[in-house]
Amino acid sequence: MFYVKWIPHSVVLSPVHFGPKLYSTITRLVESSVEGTALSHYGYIIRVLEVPEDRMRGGVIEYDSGEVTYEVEYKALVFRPFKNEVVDSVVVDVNQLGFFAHLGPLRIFVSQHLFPSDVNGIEGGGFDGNSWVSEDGVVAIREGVGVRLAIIGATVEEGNITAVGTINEDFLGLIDVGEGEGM
Amino acid sequence: MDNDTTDASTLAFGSLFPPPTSASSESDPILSVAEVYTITNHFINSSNDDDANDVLKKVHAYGRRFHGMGMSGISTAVQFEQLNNMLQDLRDVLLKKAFVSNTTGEELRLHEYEASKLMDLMSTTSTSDEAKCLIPSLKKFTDGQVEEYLELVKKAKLKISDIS
Repeated sequence: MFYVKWIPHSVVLSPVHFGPKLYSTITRLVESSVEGTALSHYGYIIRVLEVPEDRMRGGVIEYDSGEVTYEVEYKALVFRPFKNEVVDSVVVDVNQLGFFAHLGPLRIFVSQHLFPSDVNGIEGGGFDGNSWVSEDGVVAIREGVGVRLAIIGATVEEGNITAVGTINEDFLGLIDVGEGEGM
Repeated sequence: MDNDTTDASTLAFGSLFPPPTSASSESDPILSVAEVYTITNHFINSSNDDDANDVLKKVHAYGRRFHGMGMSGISTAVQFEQLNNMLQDLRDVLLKKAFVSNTTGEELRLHEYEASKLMDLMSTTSTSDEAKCLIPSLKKFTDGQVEEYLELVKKAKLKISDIS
C-alpha cells in the first residue's frame, strides 16, 4: 500500500553546520538518511516530500560532544505491504519451489504449494524447467510476466522487507505476459 | 512491524491508520499506483540519475507498468498534469459517494484504502463479485452499491485513456 505520512526523525548536527543554511542542511540530511531505506513500522521511504521549518523543534545540545539534536517531522511517500492485500507484481525468478516477484523494491515469494491445483501439478500442469504451466497450457508463469497475488505475510530484516504471497484464490494469477502487454 | 494485528481485508492497519473517530476526521492519504506514478514521474524528470534513489526508480518502473489506467500515450508534463487532475477528481468522487446500510441504517463510505484499490485493481469490465473478492472489506456494500463505484471507475478510466 502506498501512502503519504508525517514521520518523526532526529538529526544530529555538529556546530560547523550552524549558520544561515541550517534549514537546508537539515533537509538535505533528512533526505539522504531516510530515502530508499525501510523503516520497520512505516515501510520503504520512497521520497521525502516536505521538511517544513515549522515542524522542526529547537535543537538540544549534547554536552559530551557539543553536537545538537534536532527533532523534525518530514512528509514522505511510503510503501508498506499488508497482510491480505492484493497487489500486481512482475515475476523475476522461477524455480521448482515457486516464483519470486517484485513490487517496486519489495520481493515477494509465492510457494508452489500456494498455486492453483491445475498449475502446481497436483491436478495437472507443473514446472517445465523455465516456467509453471497450467494443465491446459494457457497459463505459463515465467520470468517477466505480470501476476496478481495476495500477500499473506511480511517480515523486516536489517532494513529490508520481504513478503510471502498466494495466487490460489479467485481472480488471482497471471495478468499479462510481459512489458507492454495490457491487462 | 505489527504483523500479527494488521489485515487489509478488515481495514486493520494498526497504529499507522487508526479507525476514524468522527465522520469529519482526516486520515493520511492512501494512494493508487497511478497517483504514485505521477508523483514519481515528477521527481524522476526533475532530477538527474544520481539524485534518484533505487527505491524511487523501482517504484517509478512499477507504476509505469501497473498503473492500470490505459495511458500508455501519456508522456508530456501537460498530459501528466491533466492525468493528475483526473485521478484527484476520481478519488474525490469515490470518497464522497455515500450509501445507507440496509441493515444498520448507518452511513457507508469507502475507506481511502478501498478507493485506491478500486482504482488499482478494477478494469472497465470488472464486476461486483470480483471487487468483493479482491477487496473483502467491500462486502459491507450491496452488489448494486459496488456496481455504482465500479461505474465511476470505469468512466474515469475511459476518459483517461482518451488523453493524447
